[in-house]
Amino acid sequence: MALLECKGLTKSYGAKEVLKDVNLTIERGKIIGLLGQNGAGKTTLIKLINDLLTPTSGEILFNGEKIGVESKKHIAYLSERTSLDKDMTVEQIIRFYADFFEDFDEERARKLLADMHLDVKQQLKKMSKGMQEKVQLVLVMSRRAWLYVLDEPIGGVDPATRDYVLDTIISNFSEDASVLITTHLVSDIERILDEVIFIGNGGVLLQGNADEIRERENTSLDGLFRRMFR
Amino acid sequence: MKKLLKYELTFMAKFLMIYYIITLLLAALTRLFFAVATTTFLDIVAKIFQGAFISVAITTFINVLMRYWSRFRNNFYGDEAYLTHTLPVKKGTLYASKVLGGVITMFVTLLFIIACVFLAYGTPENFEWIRNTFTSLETAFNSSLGAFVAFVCVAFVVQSLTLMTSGFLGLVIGHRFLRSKIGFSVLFGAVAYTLAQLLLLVVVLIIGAFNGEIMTMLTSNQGATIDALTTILIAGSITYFLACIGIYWLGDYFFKKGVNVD
Repeated sequence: MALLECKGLTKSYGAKEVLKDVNLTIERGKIIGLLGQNGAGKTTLIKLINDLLTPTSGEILFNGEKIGVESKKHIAYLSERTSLDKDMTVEQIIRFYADFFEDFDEERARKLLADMHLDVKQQLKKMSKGMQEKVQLVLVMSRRAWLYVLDEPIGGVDPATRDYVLDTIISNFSEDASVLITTHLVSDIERILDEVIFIGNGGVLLQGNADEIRERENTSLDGLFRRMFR
Repeated sequence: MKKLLKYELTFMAKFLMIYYIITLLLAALTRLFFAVATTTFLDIVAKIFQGAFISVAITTFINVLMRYWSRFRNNFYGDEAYLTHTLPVKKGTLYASKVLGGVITMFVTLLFIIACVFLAYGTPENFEWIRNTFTSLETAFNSSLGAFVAFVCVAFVVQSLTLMTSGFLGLVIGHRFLRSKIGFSVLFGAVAYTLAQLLLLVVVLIIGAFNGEIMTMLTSNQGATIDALTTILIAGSITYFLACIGIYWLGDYFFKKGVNVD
């Protein structure tokens, strides 16, 4: 059984169809890049997977079941925005995650926060945006989830930190879990991807194994991205 | 639900604490200055504190409503929605936790304000004055005031709850639109609250058809009786309570149909 399956997924905003009859499957144990231009529907797809949007038609199945309480127990989502209560300290946020997510590994979170020199006693609103993003990433990657959905995880961090963030992602998920990443910085994440999904014009343009695509197209994924969306 | 409520009430307690402290302080100062108001100057100061106390107490209560609407929006449709909707909790539970949190906060705030009123004015002389006023009014109207006063309080509470749930319903329906979400939220909240008021008017008219005193009061210049007003307050309390349940159910229904977070 596929980990995640989108069947005939359509999302419209009024007359504008952002996603049109999207069918895709995500298997276990893969790092998948969800690539596309601005406005291609990447964030819309991710929001649909996380129940932040209601599909116009079609359905999303996670482990064979519709998105709901059960799927949310196993999907860890890193949003583009700071979704945490900024009045809380990092310590309080850790308690919050431990209260609501059974798969949250508090020890791992504390270790990762210490590695990133983040003070657990500090209030989130007193941290820089970059630090807030790191806290969010740590919390998400400290869950033993089946699927990690990361929306622009390296978009807001400096180039020096990007590698550290990517290494954190790679080294903090189990072998049978999958990671779905969106980013414009294709060249930065190319090295970690097992699969890619190119989306555009409201649908899936290309999906497949990253190495096979590179070999077949005789170019890097970054090169292919530039060629496809020129 | 317990966990959601814990965070809900902790957040509101932190926010309201400053209002509670100021209200309590002003109540104590009002009591103190009225107790020592032996000169005109001290009497003026006491009255200033009294005015400030009443203003802050009203502001605190209004703030509970406003803050809950704002928190509802932030948690379910703002940036925090990105976490709220990904919690492994049923949509109905999320919605219920907000309403229940609002109800608890409102009750606690009301009780706190009542306690502060007692602190500010609870002197033996004032109690004596209230007792005398009640007795003379009961004699004048030839009726007991106890039930009337009790139902004024009940009607005020259920009416406030109707206002709060109307706001929630407005936000849920308003955020189903693509544009002018806040505008539509205000519109639908106002419509829900106005419908509850119209329902009350219809109920009072129906009761009036069977109750001569109420119909006379509604159709002539003749003064109201305490019994007729008490009957209207009881009808109002029941109507608002039912309206509150209906509005809650509608909000819950639309919320469970799914959200669209910007």
